[in-house]
Amino acid sequence: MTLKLSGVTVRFDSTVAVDRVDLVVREGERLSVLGPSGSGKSTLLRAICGLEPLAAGRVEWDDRDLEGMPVHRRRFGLMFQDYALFPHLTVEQNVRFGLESGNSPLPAADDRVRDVLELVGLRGYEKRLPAQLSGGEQQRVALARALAPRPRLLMLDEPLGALDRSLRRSLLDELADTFEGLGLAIIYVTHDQEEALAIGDRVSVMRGGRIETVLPPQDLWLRPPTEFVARFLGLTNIVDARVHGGRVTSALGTFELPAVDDDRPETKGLQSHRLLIRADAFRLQPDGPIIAVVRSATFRGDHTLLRVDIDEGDGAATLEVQADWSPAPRPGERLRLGIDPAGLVLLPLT
Amino acid sequence: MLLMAAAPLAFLLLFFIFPVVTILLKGLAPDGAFELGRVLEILGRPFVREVAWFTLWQALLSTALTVLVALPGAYVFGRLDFPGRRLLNAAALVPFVLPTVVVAAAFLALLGPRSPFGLRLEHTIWAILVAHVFYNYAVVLRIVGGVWAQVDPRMEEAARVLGATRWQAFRRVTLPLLRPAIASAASIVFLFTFTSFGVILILGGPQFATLEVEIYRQAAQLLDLRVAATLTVVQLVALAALLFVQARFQERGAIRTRAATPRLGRRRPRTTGERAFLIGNLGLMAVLLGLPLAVLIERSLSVAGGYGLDYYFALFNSQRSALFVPPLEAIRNSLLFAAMATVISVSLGLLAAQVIATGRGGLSRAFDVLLSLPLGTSAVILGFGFLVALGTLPVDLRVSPLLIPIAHALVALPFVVRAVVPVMRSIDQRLHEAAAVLGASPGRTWRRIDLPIIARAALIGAGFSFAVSLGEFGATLFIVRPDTPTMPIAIFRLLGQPGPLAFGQAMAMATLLMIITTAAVVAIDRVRVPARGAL
Repeated sequence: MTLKLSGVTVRFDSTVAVDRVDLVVREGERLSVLGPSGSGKSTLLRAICGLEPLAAGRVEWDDRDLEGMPVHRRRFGLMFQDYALFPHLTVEQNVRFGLESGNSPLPAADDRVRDVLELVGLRGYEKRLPAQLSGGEQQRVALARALAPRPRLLMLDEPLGALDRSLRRSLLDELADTFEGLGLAIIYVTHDQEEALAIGDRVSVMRGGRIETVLPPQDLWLRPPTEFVARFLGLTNIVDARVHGGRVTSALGTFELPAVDDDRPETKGLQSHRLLIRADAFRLQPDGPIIAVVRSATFRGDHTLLRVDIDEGDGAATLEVQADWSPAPRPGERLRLGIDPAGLVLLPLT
Repeated sequence: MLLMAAAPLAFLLLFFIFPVVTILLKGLAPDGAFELGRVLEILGRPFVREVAWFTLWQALLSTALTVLVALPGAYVFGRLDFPGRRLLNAAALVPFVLPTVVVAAAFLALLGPRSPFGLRLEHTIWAILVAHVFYNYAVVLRIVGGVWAQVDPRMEEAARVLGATRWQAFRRVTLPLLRPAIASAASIVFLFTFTSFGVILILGGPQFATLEVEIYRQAAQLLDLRVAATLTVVQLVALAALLFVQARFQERGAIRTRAATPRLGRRRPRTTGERAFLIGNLGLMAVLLGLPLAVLIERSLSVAGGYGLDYYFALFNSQRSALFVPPLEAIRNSLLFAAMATVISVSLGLLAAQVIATGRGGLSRAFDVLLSLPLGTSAVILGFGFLVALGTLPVDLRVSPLLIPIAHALVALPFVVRAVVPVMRSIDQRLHEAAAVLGASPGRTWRRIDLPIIARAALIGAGFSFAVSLGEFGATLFIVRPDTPTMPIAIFRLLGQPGPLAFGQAMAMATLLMIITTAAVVAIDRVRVPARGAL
């Protein structure tokens, strides 16, 4: 029960939408695919389903190449972006669709429809048409429809993308719970880092049709491997730096890098790098090396997010600082700040 | 407002309501009193039942065939992108805008006694059916293809992922989503074929007659106006019922679907099967739509021992003409009548559209209905009505040279109104208020604000009027005088003459009419307003 992609490439006329992608999804594993729009995430799902022909590469299930196997035989579930519910069929008929196309006898189909509608909490909605449902309800119908034929792999394309913010939060928790109970292999495509980190056992980040990295969510969050990934995760405090031995020097000062492995080639010698400073690494420190002027302060509940101007030596930089001390600083205030080296991540120069 | 309504209202009352009511009276109360027995006696005659039955089944069969043949084309043009798609899409509309006489002449060239392929299908039901499919192909192609492009392709993909085969996905998802469009297109084709006149008269020969053709034969050839009037009543009732059902259909059934994103909507064929389907369908269209017109042109140029322009020269030579007048005059008449009809229908149409677009509820709606009535009648009925009614007036309008342009304007008027009203409605009312505040009189406001905006729509209406008038056959046949034939009438007469010269001249004249009409329609397409275009 393993999906394996090797060198998967999809072309639209002259553009390459998916570029030599290698991926493995094992039984019961949940993989998030995170990336900006246009990075090829949806196309990758469509290629796995057989909806897009491959220009190169292989899609294998349990070491069997699926090339030539038509879409309807693959038994992969796909929940489309914006759901693609059949507008002329009721909720029940939508959910039943995949059961009638296969070989399952009708009485079993009745039970299955009831079960999946129960699972998504839509009992009593059987006779409604999609147009009579709210966005959240449509999302549940789409999930029920995808689950009904017991797919061996479930793929979801931006399942919460069409919903408003508050609904997203609650449905995200619900989805995570549902998946937990199913034990089904899942590929979850999203452009939202919060969803990707919440759902995936591993998170792969796509960029320009290529997989930039695949990591467990904690590692991805704590040690983003590239500046692109860091910025996509919303980590924007990135400055130029030089590394010498175990020490890193930037406009913010010189720090020990406890996490740096001296064998890594990029840390050898005097080399240019980029340095990520996590917003929560700053400390209020009367003798700290950094002099910052608060430009704006936004109260975020458990902390206050500051945007501060720092004289970087060769020009000013604006950084985000997570201030969890009180009283919270005000705009115009001058602060002296220190940095906890644990919040520093060295990034390769791009 | 009432003043503006007066001119189009008077026009419609005199040239539409009055003639139609006169026929109705003649049909139902031939001797001044309502005589049900007499009406029933005529309706009970076997030939009436035969004509009614033929009218119905040929229309049903033609409609079914057109939908079947054009559905793959609707898929190709709705879903696939390929080089030349726009051009072919425009070219596929040409048969639909051609005058019926040209269509009939083209199929007579292809299937008739002088067929280059030795086919002898004239005066058979097959000739009629094929000509109807040819004529109405674009209706299904445009309407269903347009909706197909809007159906989200992910619907079908979702079905496929859920285990449906290509065919199952089409039958259970795409087809139901297309059903309202198919029903709408089919009802239009049914209406056209139910009232088919020129094609049946010319291609069908004496043994086939729709109600339209029979009305013409009874009135103009057998001179039995009473039977013709009774048949007209039947036809009007049938048309009214048809339009009623059609309107009911359109109210229900429209399923809202999300518009497809352009990238997903149409795409290049990617598999060998898709490419084969595309090429096969384009080949079918070339044969069905292209071949008859190509043969028409070929026959017009084919003279004894090779090709030449002899038949075209013969058109300009009165000595060798089979008509009462030189054929050249028919061309002159057609252009003159078309110009006059255009002036009449555009000026009345602008007034009427203004009333509909800006009038208060009741008046606006009543006018809207009144102006679309001519669409629900047929040209033959209009011509017959002119013949019967206009002789009873103190001034016999039947001898007026304006009669033909008036009849054509009546046919074209609804098209003009339909082209202009949406544009007028889209004009921001505040522009009028601003102009008034700045001291402009209503007349000046109309000239300076409305006219420039609606000029393009009016131009389109003018093009339609011109094209409609050029090709109009049914009404003209009733009211034309021997010495002022139009091009369709000349073609019809030439086709009725024996000998290769008359036939060749008919082909040449039909080719010229085809070129002029196509040019007019291409010109309309050029000035297309950004508002939603009519078919």
